[in-house]
Amino acid sequence: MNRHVLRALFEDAFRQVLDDKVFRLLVVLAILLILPTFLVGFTPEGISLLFGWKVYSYSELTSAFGRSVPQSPELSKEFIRGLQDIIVSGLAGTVGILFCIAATAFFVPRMLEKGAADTLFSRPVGRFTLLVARYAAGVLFVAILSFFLVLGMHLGFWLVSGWSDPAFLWSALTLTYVFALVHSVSVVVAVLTRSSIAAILTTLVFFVFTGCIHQNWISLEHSRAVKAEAVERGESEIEAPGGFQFLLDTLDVMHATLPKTTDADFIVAGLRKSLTEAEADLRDANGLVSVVAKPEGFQREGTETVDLGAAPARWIATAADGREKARIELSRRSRRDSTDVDAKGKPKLRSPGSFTLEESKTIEKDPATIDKPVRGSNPDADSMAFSWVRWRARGESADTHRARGFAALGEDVYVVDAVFEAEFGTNEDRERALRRFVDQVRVERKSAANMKAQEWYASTFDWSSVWRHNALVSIGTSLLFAAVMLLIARWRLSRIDF
Amino acid sequence: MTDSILSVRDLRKVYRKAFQRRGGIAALDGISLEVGRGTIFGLLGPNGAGKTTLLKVLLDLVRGYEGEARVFGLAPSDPRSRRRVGYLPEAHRLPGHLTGRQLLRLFGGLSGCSPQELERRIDPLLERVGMTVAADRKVKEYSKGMQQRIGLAQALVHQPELVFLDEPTDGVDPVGRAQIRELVLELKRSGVTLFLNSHLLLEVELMCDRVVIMDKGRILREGTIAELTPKTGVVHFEIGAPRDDLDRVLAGVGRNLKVEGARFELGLDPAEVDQAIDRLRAAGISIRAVDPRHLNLEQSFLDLVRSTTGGGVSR
Repeated sequence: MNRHVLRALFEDAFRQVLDDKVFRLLVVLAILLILPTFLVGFTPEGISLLFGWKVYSYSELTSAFGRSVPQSPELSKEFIRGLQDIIVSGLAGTVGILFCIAATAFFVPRMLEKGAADTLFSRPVGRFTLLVARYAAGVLFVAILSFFLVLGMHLGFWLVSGWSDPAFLWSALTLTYVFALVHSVSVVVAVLTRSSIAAILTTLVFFVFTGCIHQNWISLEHSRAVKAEAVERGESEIEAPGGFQFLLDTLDVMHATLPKTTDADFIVAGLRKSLTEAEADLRDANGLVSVVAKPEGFQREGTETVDLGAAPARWIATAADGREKARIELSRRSRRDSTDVDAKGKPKLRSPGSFTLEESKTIEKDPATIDKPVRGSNPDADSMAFSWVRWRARGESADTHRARGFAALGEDVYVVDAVFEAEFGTNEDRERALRRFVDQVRVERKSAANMKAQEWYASTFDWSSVWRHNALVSIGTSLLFAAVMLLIARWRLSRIDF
Repeated sequence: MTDSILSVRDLRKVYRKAFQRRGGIAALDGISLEVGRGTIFGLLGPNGAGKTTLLKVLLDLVRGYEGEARVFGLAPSDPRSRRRVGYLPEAHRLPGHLTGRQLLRLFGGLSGCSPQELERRIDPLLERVGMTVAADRKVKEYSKGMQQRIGLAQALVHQPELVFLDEPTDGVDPVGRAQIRELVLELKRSGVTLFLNSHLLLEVELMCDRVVIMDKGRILREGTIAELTPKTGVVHFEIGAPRDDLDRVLAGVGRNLKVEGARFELGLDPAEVDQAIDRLRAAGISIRAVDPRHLNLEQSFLDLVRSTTGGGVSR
């Protein structure tokens, strides 16, 4: 096939897309979604309307809904991220794709209609080439819309709000990717039936069906992981396959065979994470926990990866004269206490609350303690619930304020130990420092039992994961499915008498 | 035939439903044909005769046939055979999202023409088919006649050596028809071979050098227009003034005399024509014209098809 043929096919595909009324309608809808990003800005100060004509603080806005959110520099980014997710993954990724399925389903049947097919297929171009050109026209349809929407929103946020997640741009590619997978089904049905209605209905059902299959498969995998963890802990035994094993195997096979459209969101999330997440300030050697960034005004010595089980990591804030004015330590220890055993003689897992209770009793007995220790539950980390104890103790020269927090993670408990000298500041300053530190603590790999299925799958799905949760395998098998669909269409098309 | 560019030998095509092994409808039943360069070849036949199927086999639009088909010496499945072929299908549907000019660029491009070549060719071609004014309007806005004209242009845009025209003047007004006829004859003069499939027999008679009459997938007759329209044996005379004594003057010469004013018809054997003229001249009758009558193509076609089907021809 020479380049003139390719050029002619591309131009025709492009013109067909631009002439489509649904395409124009979707462009208008995309503009309506993009426009607010230019008119409303999300800045650290609040939400500004029409380039600063009116500014509402986040607390002002959220208090209207009965809940107050403290001002934070990260809050505007969270808003922008949330909106990008809702519009692109939620709206464009579902409703938008459904629209596009309906809008492009007639491309192939129209080409195969009597009269149209005669003129086109009598040219010195292979039938499959012409079919692939129509398939590409459908994909181009969605690619133009996706890139328009994503780039427009990105530009709007970047210019008016001053920030946009650069990894958000990947969303355009994954929307196109998901549609390319689904559109292959539309093409094969169109060739087999030569009916636009059949192509639309079958593809819509297929899109919903594959979504259900994968969601259920993720739930199945999650339950398997939970069970495997329980077996590992010796709390459960592997059960013999039951009567539903056949159904579960079928689900496995269907997941492996069908294009994994739902994985696209996880692929985007992974790409966004890899692009936006900076190198952590500290990683626990067990790979479970990291501290993303050092707390403001604190410094840490040592390497990036440390074994928190062997020695605590330490962040120190110093005064102008070099004296230590605050210290925060993070360590890890086992939750199993050899003194408290279950019926089988195995040490029981302790809760963070029991550690805090025990700790407060010990602190109370300490002669250096000034006030009675106070227990509480704030601040919490991203996905670790801390239980705290706070007290005041006599120091060498002045009183110190202390806080110790416990958070459970699997078999371990993570301990934050903070010491603030009097000169560090007010109680508010101490609490802010503590919150900022805890905000930076991230759970890298949680126990499956502590996560919802989707959250767990997102945490295990990666480019280097085992093949069942591997992004490359997901993309490879999905593209293989699309290729098989197109080959079936090719086989049928070669046997049609026009 | 020398310099043949298209040939079929014992071509058979049976349309069967999916999974049907036997039976079916035989659209072509042993067709053999050869077409020389630079001729206009007419295909005639009632509906369902197999004319369109024959064209589609030659264009690889219909597959799974038996026998042999060659276009420029190549099998129809070879895309190279279609590089030098233009086709205007009957009841075609052209991409409505394109303008006339874009449509010609698309089909020219699909035939391997470069954009530069097409730039040179498109305007003169649009002028030849009378579509210059509407060239930049969308095809979906065209009238039936305009669609036919632009359809003809797409068949010619890559300068093919062989052109299949299936009802080329369908929906075109009389002026447009005359233009298309002129264009077809101009193509023939430039050495292009044309395959014309038309229900307008007068058109075929006016344009075609050779004609094939088909029915039920078979060739009933093939020949030049003269061969297919034999003399009827009736001679038409026009004389200077009406005469009442023609019966007497022509007594014993010919049969079935029909007089109508200064004109009359007489059934004559070839040898009797001179005799009739001599009698008229001897009687002092001035002869203005002598015209031996032929069957026209329509009569010839109807007679031939009726004789094989026993009547009931639909065209």
